[in-house]
Amino acid sequence: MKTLKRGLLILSVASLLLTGCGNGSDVSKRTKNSTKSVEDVLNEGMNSSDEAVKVESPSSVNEIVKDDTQDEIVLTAADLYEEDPVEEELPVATPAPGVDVDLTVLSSTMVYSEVYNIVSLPEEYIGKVIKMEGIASTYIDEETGAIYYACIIQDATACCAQGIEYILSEDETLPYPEDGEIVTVIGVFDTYQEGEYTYCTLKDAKLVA
Amino acid sequence: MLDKIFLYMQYPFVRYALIVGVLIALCSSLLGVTLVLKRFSFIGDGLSHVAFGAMAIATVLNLSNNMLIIMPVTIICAVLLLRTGQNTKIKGDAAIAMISVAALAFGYLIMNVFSTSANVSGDVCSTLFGSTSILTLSKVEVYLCIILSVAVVFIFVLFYNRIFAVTFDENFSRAVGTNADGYNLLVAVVIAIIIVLAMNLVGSLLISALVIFPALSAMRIFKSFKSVTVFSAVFSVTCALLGMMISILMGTPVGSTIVAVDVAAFAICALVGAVAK
Repeated sequence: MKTLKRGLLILSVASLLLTGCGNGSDVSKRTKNSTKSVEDVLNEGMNSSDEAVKVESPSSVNEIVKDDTQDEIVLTAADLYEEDPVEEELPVATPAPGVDVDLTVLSSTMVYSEVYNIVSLPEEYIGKVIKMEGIASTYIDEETGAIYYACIIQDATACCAQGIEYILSEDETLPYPEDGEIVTVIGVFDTYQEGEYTYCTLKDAKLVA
Repeated sequence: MLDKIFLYMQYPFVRYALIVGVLIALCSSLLGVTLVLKRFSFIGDGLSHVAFGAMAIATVLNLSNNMLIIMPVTIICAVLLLRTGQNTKIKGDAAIAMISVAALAFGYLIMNVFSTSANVSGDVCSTLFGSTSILTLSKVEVYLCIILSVAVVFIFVLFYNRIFAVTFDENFSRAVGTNADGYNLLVAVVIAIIIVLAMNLVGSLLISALVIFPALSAMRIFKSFKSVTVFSAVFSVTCALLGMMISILMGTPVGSTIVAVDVAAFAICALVGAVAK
């Protein structure tokens, strides 16, 4: 009897805990961890770092976000987080004026996690001005000849990486950086469709000297 | 510093990490006391390696929910180790060591031979050491963690007296009619669940720390099973929270930071225990 009473008490507390945590919204499938694809990119980049001009395998940069979208799903924040993305403002770490998401002021652990979230939940960040610092990487699609530029960041143990592609604005006077250079990029986050996949990019980007 | 903490707390993934981290720390500390007293301190390490091997298989099979493989495999191994380990030709510690290294080796082998990723070392590193896994949890994983953690706490509190009896004197509890085998099985299943959950927090190589340090630290100061269990839970949750906050603020790896805090707190407890004597 005593055990039963204790059980009922715990059950009620557990129910309270569980109901307090959710809003009942549907939980959709989450896209796959994007680290692998970016790791692919980074690995390939490291392997050929000695080359003066880097020529990457055809879709390496595309793979930065390919794994995020290979299930052909682009998720909304509401699918994954209980907060309503319209009502809740994104956290703003913005000493720099005009920047919505300043990744340069976050710790390395936070930067990695935040970039992971950006590429996992791209719709939540569309139109936001993002400032990030990372390792420059260049890739050339041998089939189309298209050149892609990405800013890659690593986690605290430096074994996992995340990255975002960027396209410099026409006004930008600085050239695209060499592979392996540490760069700071400010750009407007956007997504675009190429084939069956959705890709993330920082458009109208500027390099911070 | 406070501004930074408040800023980071605005990020949903930080809040989720703290919730899940606290729950995992709580669960692991509760069962940790029992495992340490039953001389099964190293089982966490063995089972986590098994979970790593299972995760490698799940990764190679490209399963969207790798828990479908990890959880049953880990539970089966936990049952084999805890329940039947004492009646077999290969005794407890040897069986744990054997399964542990075999699972680790096969896991790494499978990931290398059949991997779909170009960065095997990165995958292995993040699985073994946790890295930032706890900060990249999906909402589904958070819910799963909450449900399983609540279930573990529920089971522990509900069967507290029986677990206490089986832990201290299994033969006596059998003599008075307690189903000792059943409770050993229950402990095995629960510890397997905790191990799988804790892989997200500290990685599979560091899980033992979550099981051992809280219990051993509590035993430096307290003597009764109840007080050791309660202090162990408080210790574990506090260290996990502190470790996660330091990791987030300083940019250090989450798992190893939590374990470092555990070690420091253990030293303090040992000192307090020595002075109190």
